[in-house]
Amino acid sequence: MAEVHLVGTLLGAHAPTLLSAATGLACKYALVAGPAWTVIEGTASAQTHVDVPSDGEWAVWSHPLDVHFATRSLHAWPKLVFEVVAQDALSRMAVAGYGLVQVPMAPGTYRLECTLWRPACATWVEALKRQFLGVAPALKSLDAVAASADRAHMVTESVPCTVHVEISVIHRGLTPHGVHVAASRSTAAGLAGLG
Amino acid sequence: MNTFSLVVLGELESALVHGHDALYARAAFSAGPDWAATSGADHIVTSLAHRPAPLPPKPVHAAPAPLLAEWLARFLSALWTAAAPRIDPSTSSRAAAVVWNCAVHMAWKSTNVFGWPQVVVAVYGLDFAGRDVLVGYATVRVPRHPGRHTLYAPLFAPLASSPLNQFLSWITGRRPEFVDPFLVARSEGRQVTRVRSSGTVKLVLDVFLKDMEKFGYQLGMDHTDSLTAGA
Repeated sequence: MAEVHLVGTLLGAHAPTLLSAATGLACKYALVAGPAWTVIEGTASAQTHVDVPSDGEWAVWSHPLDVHFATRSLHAWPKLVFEVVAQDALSRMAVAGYGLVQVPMAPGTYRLECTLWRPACATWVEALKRQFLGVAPALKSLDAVAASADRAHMVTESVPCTVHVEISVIHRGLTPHGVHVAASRSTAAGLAGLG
Repeated sequence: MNTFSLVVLGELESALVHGHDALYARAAFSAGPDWAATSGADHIVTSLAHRPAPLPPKPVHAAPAPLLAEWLARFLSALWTAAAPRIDPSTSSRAAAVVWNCAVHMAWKSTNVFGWPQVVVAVYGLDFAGRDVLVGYATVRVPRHPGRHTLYAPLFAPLASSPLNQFLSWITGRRPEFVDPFLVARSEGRQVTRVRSSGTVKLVLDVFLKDMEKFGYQLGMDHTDSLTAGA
């Protein structure tokens, strides 16, 4: 069994346009990995606090990420999936956007940025509901963000919001299995069957 | 060798916050269950640092003043700065860094990367009546790579749960605080809180690591320009 540590911070979101209408932003996130991956320690999915920023530009979450994985395969390397929730002036919460970012495979520390999208209003009734009731079309589960199969049936719109993450990928016991994921000229070795 | 070591040396340098002229900070390290402190102080409290005094206005005439009058003027001006630094409206709205320059030193040994240490900073100021009030919390993870790191951690303060509580906290000078400041270093229980972010804290940390490779860990490269935490 090889081990992978993901250690870092969900820093926040840069969303001046979004924050001119919404008062605050929160984020639900999940680290989604394949069936060969087991979480040994740590919280793979959680929700941040709601930040009502004074500058109206940066929502600060400063949410710790610290997950210890064990894996038998490199298939379906963890992905970070986000659901950003906006709070309006009446303290109603509505989905502002979804996002997905692939966690890098090579060990190291990275600053990741994730752009967001949301399901578009299909009918004018839905558009009116969003405008006046704050009810927006939402996905039933975050798994739909990570799966690419269902995207073809979706109509979406982009959201002016970028989620920022600082994350370290730390490997243990991958090299004895002949795995090279760091940047080098040698070809990448065996993808599966780490045993 | 059955443990690896992490040593952090540095300083809690300063804060950039609007609306407060005097600030102090409490800083503490939070590490996972497999981490044992070997030396250093895991909890520090800085001095109560004041914003730099504004420059005195330049005299219009350079005419030599009588000695006694000059002495009197200096005495009065010193008295004024001593009596009124907190209520001087010209400084309270300006953003100049409040410098603590407070040394930080901590060392751990561990067998597991999980629970990599975090710094939790709680910044306090003084309100109009001279009472201690929370300005905000900041949290930043100790860098995972050896070397010198300059970190800027954004501050955020919990908001009152209702307008009535907000009014009561203003009257009594007791602003909402977390019962356990280490909440900000944890992932669980955060979703029930609402905060307002404002200002930043600056830390300069020197990190060195020992025996991580011997222990089988591959850290890779630091691909971030500088490990700034947030805005």
